Amino acid sequence: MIHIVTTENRHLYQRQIWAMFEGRRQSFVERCGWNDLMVFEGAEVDDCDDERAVYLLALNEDEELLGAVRTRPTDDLCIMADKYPHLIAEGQPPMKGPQVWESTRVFTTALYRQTRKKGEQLLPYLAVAASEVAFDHGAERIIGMGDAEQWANMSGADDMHLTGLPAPYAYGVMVGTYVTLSAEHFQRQYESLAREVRIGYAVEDNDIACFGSLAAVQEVVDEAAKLAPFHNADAAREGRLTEEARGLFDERARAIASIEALYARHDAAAAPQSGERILRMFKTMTAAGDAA
Amino acid sequence: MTVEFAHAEAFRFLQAGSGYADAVELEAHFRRVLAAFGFGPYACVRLNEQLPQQDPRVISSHGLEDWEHYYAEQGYDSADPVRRWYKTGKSFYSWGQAKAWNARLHEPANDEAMWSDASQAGLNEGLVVVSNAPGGHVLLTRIMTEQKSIRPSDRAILDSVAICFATWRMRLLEQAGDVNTVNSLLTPREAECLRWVGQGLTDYAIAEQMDISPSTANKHIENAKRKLGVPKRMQAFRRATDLDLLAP
Repeated sequence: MIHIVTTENRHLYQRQIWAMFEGRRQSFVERCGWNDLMVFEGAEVDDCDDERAVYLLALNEDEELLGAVRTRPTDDLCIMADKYPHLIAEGQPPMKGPQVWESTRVFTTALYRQTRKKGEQLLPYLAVAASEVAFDHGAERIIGMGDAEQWANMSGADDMHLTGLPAPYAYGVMVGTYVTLSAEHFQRQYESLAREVRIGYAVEDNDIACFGSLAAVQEVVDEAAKLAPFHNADAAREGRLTEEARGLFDERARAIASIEALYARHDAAAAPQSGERILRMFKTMTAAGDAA
Repeated sequence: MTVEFAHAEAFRFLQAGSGYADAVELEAHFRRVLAAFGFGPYACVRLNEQLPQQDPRVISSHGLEDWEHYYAEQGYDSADPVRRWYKTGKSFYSWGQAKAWNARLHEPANDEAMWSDASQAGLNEGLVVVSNAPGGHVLLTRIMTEQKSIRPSDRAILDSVAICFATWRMRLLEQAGDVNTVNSLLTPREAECLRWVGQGLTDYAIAEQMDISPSTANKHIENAKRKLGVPKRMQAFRRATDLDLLAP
């Protein structure tokens, strides 16, 4: 699951946020050799790590960090526009302003690389989760920078454009990109990821009160995400009970049983508002689908 | 043509992404970009083995005929026009590879002869596009220009264009299932081993038939599998048969 971490819920992620800063040091300073980054007590931090930064953290079932990305509005600070303006060609839409968010410092941890299953991809999920946050805040575009060689493979991505020509920098050749955000964009993204509901979820104190830990909340949210497509099934879909659909509805029954088991397990130890929380999770997870 | 025009053409090329209908359209645009930067024609050389085991010296000139002449003299396998460029597998290019190849190409021992020849042909600057062909074959494209030097900022653009061209071209050829790009580099011994494989012989039996050691027979078959991009020996036989590579 990918957790949305804001100032509202950072206190729930102290260990993971520290792991993220350390992971950034390992990834960018040690592996990429970006020696001009600031490292403070083992953590790589910069000006953009302020109260407006939103972190998307991918955690495993043991609440350990697998990967992360930082996203942030650009109306005050923008790494691309402020530090690398030559990456933005003339005639391009503004890359800094209230309608633009910037994603930076995306990386995966050594743990993820060691434990990832064949075919598993985390970076596209992190990218879409960051876009979801930006879109939620009214952004029209999300921008980012990357090594130019990556463009050859990224260029097929929906709605992704170059901000300008590649340019050399201290550690290679860099290129700027932007994605135009829209409900249709997310619909295409979810389809390409074989997902029907939004990716990021912001855990609240109430979630912890209900379910006890980040891992438990994650388990419930993952179940809710699996169930959400069936929760959304419309009457027409119900009416077309082909063999394939029958299989889907069997799956739905299993998912419901699973979520009920989780509910029962946590309800005994937690608050009576658990049911309400699960319902909210369904609504949150299905919101993007409804919008699309 | 102006620098601005060249940059605009490169931007259009890069921005088009994977939107090209086919490899022909992509190549036409690639040529336009190169022309805008003052480059001449280009060609591709196919080496018979992995490049690190071979002399990596590569030279290009204005036309493909010059390449073929040069490679015939040097004893290389052959020179192909880029339109026959191909690959299987996923990873065929990286910036690191390009740097490695360039570093190797610029080794003093090789560099002197290569640039001397290039200079005689009136060529001074260039860029290298590298890709892996099926079976670990390395394909190099050296694209040359008569310019004295390429500006560092243009070098970054051209390298990016070259990488994208290589990546998108392979993708389009794969999508089109281009059979004309298939390797025909099975050696006679590899082909003979595969013919025996088709008759169900083991390494030991093949070795006996060919009067070689079983490990040598196995090595030939492994090489054939690698070149044909298949994991099993019988698949190698079938693929080689399909491609008519086993005719004596």
